[in-house]
Amino acid sequence: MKLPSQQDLADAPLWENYLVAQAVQACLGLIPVHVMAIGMRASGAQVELVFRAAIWTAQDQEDAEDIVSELEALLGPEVSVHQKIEAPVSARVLASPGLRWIFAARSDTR
Amino acid sequence: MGTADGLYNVPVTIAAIADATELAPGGVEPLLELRGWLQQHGGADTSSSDYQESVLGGTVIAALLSCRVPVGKLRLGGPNTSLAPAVPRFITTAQGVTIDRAAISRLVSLQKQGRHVLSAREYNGGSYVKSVEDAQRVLDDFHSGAAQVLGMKGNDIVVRTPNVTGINVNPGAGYPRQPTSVFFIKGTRSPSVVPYNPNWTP
Repeated sequence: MKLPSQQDLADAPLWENYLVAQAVQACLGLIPVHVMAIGMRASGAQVELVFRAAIWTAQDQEDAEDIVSELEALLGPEVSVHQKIEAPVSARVLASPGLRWIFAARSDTR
Repeated sequence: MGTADGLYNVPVTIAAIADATELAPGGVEPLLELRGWLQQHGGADTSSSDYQESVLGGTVIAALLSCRVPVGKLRLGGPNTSLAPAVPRFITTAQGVTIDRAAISRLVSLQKQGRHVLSAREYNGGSYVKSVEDAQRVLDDFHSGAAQVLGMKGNDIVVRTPNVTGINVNPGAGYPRQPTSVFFIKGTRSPSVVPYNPNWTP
């Protein structure tokens, strides 16, 4: 396996990595306090942000909507962003096809 | 809330005047006189009791009482008056989405706006304006009609105003610090203003 380098990105999934980078940027300072994990699923120009939380409050919803709004701003009108709330849940993350986790809280903080 | 010139152009309702009489510290006579003036000049909508317009009415009345402006010389705008062009309350975008200007609060949320003000404690690295006053100016321009409504981004209203320059921050797309006069207005009851891609099209 040849890993990407600065000179040669090899087979790195550029689009998906770009979306992840933008999603991380969109989350800065906005992650809802009860969220245990945030994942991103991309299918072409369709992006889904997955929020997993032990409980889900109105403030959490507002913060999640702010993240979606920020991500929409960063990605522009060609990309459609949606959110999916998984709450209440006990496990932080679960393996799921096509889902990339971009944030997971420490297990001893919640 | 703006200058006296700005106040002259806000719609004032009979209901607003009625509400303001309970708040006005200077007595009701000037208010009743103003109400009569509005009725005579067709600048009042007796059917509306919208809260925001009531607040506006109170502001106008407060300005009248403090400045002692002769009522007969006022140029208050209103739904039916020909004295000043009214800003349309509803805007329908090219995509068929209708925006109700009155549904958007006239004051930015200080807490939420802080996320997009460079010097604020809440700033977290995204797009920003120089000050809360700049953000408020964008919102003022939206309400006064000075800003052009470009369309909707999800649930957010996108506007362009010539009066404020913000910075669009999108390093992932190659724009770490891009001046822009395009903004989106996020939220209704507690809105905030965020600089946006200057080349955005709906």
